[in-house]
Amino acid sequence: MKDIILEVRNLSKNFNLHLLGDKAVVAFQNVSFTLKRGEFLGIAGKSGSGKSSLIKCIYRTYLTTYGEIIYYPDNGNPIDLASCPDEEIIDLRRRKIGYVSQFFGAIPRVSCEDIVTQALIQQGVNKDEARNSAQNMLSRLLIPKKLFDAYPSTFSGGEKQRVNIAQALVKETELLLIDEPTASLDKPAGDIVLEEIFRLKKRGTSVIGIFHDDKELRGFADKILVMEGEKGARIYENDK
Amino acid sequence: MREWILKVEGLTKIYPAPAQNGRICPECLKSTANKCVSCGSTIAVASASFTLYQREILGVMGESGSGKSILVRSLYFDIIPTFGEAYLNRERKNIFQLNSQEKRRLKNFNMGIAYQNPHLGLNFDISAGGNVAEKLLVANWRSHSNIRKRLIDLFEKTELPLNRMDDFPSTLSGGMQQRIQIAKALANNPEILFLDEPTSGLDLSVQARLLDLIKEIQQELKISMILVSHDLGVLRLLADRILVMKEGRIIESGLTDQILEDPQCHYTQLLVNSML
Ligand SMILES: Nc1ncnc2c1ncn2[C@@H]1O[C@H](COP(=O)(O)OP(=O)(O)OP(=O)(O)O)[C@@H](O)[C@H]1O
Ligand SMILES: [Mg+2]
Ligand SMILES: [Zn+2]
Repeated sequence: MKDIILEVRNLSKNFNLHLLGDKAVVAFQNVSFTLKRGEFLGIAGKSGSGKSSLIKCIYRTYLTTYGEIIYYPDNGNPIDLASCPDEEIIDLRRRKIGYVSQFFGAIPRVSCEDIVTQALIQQGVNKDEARNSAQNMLSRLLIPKKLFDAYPSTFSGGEKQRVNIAQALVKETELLLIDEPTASLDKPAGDIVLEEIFRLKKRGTSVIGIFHDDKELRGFADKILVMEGEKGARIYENDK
Repeated sequence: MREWILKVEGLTKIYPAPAQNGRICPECLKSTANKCVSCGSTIAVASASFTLYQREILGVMGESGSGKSILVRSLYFDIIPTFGEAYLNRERKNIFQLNSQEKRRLKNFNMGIAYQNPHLGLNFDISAGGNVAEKLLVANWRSHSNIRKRLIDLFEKTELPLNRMDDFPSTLSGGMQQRIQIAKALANNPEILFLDEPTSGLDLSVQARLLDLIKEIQQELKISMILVSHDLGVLRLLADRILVMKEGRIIESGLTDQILEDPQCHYTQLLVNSML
């Protein structure tokens, strides 16, 4: 098994806004870094510097404009996440790569327990075990039991975000992408989320995370990537 | 990676203009709009190629007239395509070249369809249960009690009230008519389900329950589906991937979240923006 899990090479993302007369918007340019297995890469940078866009390119929510995102699975051949077929991405999302988005688009009429359970069933876990793990994860993230069968569309911002986090963390994927997971949480809930992320990291999950709180970031990132939009990005080791 | 179940290559359907006596002209194939500039024939679907993978829901979106229905109805053999190939289950034979008996077999055992217009999918002269039973009879179900059992099973699966089984389709609500179409489509455990605008024309709460049902069916029965809808909200909820059609052409395709958040074509950006 290779000790590197992800190698991002000269990655750029531009948007071509056809509705605004083909206006070009640069999200970020020429970003390169490598992530070792089990490492925690924190992403920093000003608002609009391309942090979320970078994570979305890795997850294929955005199409990469230039560059490569070479992913080395624990078994099998390297895959360029920037150019591999959609079907391969669907598969990786089910089993290998988790994502917590900055904003949670709740699925209407699916209870929060079902959302989290579903994430595991897609990974091939059997129904009862999946439900059990889902309930445990929701409890650990301080979602009260009486909300388990309620729809997240009716939840508070913080509760929604914790369901969003639960469905990503419950899977114990190889690679976890997280975009400001704690931004809408109070301190106790935020701390628990960080603890959970750490528990996964201990088990070998590699993490790429955006945190708007610099203290949080410096507290636990192994490396920090500072995004500067059109000017590229700098990466440095974080001596904690 | 998952295996594919249906592969479509170069599917084209051209309706010759009346003056063309059923023929197309050489310019038809070079046309970039959905009317041939030279002879006026309608190019309903132009060289559509795509793959449906096992257990996925593939959404097809685009405005009305973009060729979505013609595309799925060609695959169900309702419409004979002008050109094109389609392969099922890694079999080497182009299904458009099968004889009518072989095609009927695929329709009876491998595929199911629910049409936008229930009059296309249901026989309004026989009962709701009779409509579903017909599909069992063509698959050689003979025992009366087994058929009855299977009907109950299908009605329950599609959340149809059992006491409406003997009613005629015309006495049922639009949502129920769609459910009967789906029950009928599922009768012989198909591998592929085609859904053509399954929820259009239904009011919102009925729509919502039908969408839930489709999701449940897909998860429980692990069927692959092609879901045609001009409603991005429906596709966001159900589709794994989306094909975007415009004037008979697939102009882009991608993962559902990618199409919604980072659409590439002018037309798709317009569609997505008008939804938000
Ligand atoms: N889907 C999109 N379509 C068009 N432009 C986009 C899209 N997403 C992001 N952008 C643009 O790309 C640039 C980078 O945005 P991004 O969301 O990656 O910033 P960020 O660093 O995550 O900011 P924040 O800290 O505010 O979350 C911005 O100029 C933004 O407007
Ligand atoms: Mg962001
Ligand atoms: Zn012509």
